[in-house]
Amino acid sequence: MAEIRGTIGRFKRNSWKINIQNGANISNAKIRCRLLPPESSHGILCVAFHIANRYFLHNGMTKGILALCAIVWMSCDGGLSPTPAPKPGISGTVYFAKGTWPGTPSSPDSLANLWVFASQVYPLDSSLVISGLFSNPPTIFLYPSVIENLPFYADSVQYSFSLPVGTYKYVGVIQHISPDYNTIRTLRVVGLAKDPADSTSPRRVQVLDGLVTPGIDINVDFHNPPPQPF
Amino acid sequence: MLSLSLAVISNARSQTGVVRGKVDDAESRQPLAGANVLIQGTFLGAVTDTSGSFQIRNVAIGKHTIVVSLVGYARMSIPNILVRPESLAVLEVHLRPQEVETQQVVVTASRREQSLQDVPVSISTVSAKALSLRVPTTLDDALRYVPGVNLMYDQVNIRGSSGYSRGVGTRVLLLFDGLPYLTGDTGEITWETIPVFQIARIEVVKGAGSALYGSSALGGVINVITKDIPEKPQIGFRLYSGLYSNPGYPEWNWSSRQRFNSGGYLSYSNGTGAFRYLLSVSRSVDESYRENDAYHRWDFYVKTIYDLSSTQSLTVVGNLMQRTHGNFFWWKSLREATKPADSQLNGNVWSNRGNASFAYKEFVSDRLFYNVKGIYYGNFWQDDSSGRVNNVSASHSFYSEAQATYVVNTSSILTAGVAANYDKVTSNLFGTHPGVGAAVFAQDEFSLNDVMKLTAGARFDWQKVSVLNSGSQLNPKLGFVYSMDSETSVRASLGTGFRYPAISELYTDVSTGVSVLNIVPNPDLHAESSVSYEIGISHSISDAMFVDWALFENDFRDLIEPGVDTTLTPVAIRFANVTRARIRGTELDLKFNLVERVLRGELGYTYIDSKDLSTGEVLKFRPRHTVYGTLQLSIEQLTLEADYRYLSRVEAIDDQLVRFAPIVDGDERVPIKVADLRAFYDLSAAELPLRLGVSVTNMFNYHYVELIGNLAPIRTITFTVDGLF
Repeated sequence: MAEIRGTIGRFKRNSWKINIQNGANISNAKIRCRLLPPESSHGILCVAFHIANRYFLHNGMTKGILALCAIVWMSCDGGLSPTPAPKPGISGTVYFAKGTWPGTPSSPDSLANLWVFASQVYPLDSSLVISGLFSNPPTIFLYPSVIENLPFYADSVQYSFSLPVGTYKYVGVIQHISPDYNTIRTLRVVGLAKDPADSTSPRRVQVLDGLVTPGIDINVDFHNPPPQPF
Repeated sequence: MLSLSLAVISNARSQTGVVRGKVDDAESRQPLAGANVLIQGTFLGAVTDTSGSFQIRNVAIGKHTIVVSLVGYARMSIPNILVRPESLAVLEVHLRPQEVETQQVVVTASRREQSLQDVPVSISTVSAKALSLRVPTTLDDALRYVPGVNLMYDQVNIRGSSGYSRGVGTRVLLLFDGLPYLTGDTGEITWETIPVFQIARIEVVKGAGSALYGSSALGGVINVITKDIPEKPQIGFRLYSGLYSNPGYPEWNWSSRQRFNSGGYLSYSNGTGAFRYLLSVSRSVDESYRENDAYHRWDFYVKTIYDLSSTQSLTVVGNLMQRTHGNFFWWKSLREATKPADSQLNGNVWSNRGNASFAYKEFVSDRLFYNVKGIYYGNFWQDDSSGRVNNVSASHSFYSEAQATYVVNTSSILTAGVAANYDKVTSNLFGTHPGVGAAVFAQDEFSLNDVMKLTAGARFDWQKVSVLNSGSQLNPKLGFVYSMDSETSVRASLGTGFRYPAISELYTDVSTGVSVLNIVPNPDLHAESSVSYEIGISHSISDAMFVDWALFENDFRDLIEPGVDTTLTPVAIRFANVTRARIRGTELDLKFNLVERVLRGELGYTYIDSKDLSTGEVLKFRPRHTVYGTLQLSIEQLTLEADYRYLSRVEAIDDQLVRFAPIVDGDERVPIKVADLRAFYDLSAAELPLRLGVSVTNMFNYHYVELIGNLAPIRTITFTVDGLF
């Protein structure tokens, strides 16, 4: 096999142009090209080409190893990632005193709605309740929502109540006796989160950014509600 | 390749002869230091010095076969060397470089030097060169790429033997120059006390090994062998400085600045002829990528070798480590994975650990040697929280053994010995308890013919801890090797292992301070045990490729596990003999050389099928699939190396610990996929005895846990300078 020396350059996309130096007759010959590095190689690309050509590219197993490396690289996704920041709020359990629910499951009485509430304002009066619920931003919040209820006739229910960051001076459970939103006379506080140091006072709860304050438990006794704020 | 000339000189004072010679590289003709030269069938031998020279005295008259070996070169066996009375045989040996290292010499499998091909169990080795390239700061970092070995944070597993029990006990026995090296109180391995810069090689024996080494060798044995001391003044050093990348998520970026680690060592050795010594000091500072996880460590190391005569030597080694470490037990949550739980935020652990050992060895004749060894290992530590000391522990462990090995005839080598140990623990956690033990062991290696070897041995151990009843264990072993040809050998083995419960498992009685649960003692614990079975085949496919394949099974009885005992009031953690387990699996190790002396690599795969026979469930903390890969490219003075390891997601973890500790998001885990890259440039061509290096560990900054609630190290870029004058 004769050796043809010359230069190689890009001719068109996906094709190469070979310039034969010595004018050999190659009309009926198959040409096998082996890329050789430029004789005057300068720059890191030429060095890399030289190394790759000399050591790797002619070896099938090496190509396999390189392919394996590529697979390894692609398989290395990020792994673990932080859990999303929890929405700030409070959580706990509402305990209902047995035998005090108004009515029966088949015939509820005075149970239009039942919510956990959290108020940034305390003490409350009628005007503060109305403005607190409907102003923007509100200062009184309801759980699950104004159109949803805590389950009726349960012994207890766990809750997780998302709230804006701030201090909540008055947290409890409120009963909506009838579906009338025009007067606060239909609202009745039936349970309180009590101050551990003074069970007659409501507990102040601090809600911090990215944290759910746990353990805000509320005892509800429909027969012995706490003092009403309004 | 060998050229041999024989000369005869007068030696009127002796009826034996002397073999002297030089060993060099067959291609470069550079002298080779550190080559082992042995008279086959005897224990007579020598190691070549820096000029490649060796001399073996007291060689019996007659014809001998001389075996020359060196890591990185093909072992050469030279038959029919005639040693005459009062004569000197002079050899010139030219060793041929070997691209795939298959003919290494190991010492751990039979308590004596033997070729790896003659060993009936699976052994992996980590050479000083591999250690040098990985730049580990503690030994456990160097073991993370050994096939069949994986680490759960700092607890080592060999073929799934250990799982994880935090800081208590180990089912892998660590040996330091052949001597047991576990703490007296917790019975655990403390990696930071191993002088990682002074290691010649590490041998990892897979499978139960109590028939030779006693307690704790249920899953295997790791033997750390320290470097010899050259016969000329030498200064060695390494400096390194590393930079942690930012974590992949801003939520984990707890520090306002980059975190660093740095350190190095400085050693000086000297000696002429009979007496040689080495002094070394090392310093490590790691600010860590996690809050309250930083450490500062000093380590002082001294080794002396005194050749009392041509057949007697005394080696004394001492090591002292002092460390302060933050007390990061587990994360606050996955969202705050680089912060510890609030209760651990201001805690620290202070530890002083040290050992002193001696080894006396004498060749009584060319067929008999004996050695007497002993070690003291002291551990003192205390932890505090916001400056208030919580727990203090001091343990003293003494161990000594005597061993003799005798070549009975050309087909039998007998090894026998006795051992004794004494431990004393004083701690507010564990109480004050002594422990004492003794053992006797024996092993015979039979050559059934030229190609088949049989090994049989047993060890009897007796142990008494504090006021508890004493216990004893008899552990046999059996091994078989069939060398089908020079390229292929088949092996089969049966080994047994046991572990006495650690003092901490028996007697811990205190609030942990990091959990709502207390730990209560259980003095009714007894030893756990294992039986290992293995068959394997090793084959050199060509000069450029070597493969080793093994099938194994380990059966465990009475495994000691910590568990939450809900029958206690209040509920508490207690260690108990609760589990029977079985681990079956296979392991494949492939070493290859793609381009001669330029591109080489190793690929290891281990499959483990583990089962708790009490519950039928998968054992905790055992990855089913483990893959390790290494590629090394050497171009003149430049060495590039890449590592990759994959461990499948651990299927079962300690759910009780997660629930009761509690560890928030403690069940979060993923497969482990880590790639490292290193580059080193040797300046010796410029007549500078220096090496510059840069390494990137966890190159793709993959986030994973080895241990629940502990985010593994993020990407770290480390620069090193090594020198040897």
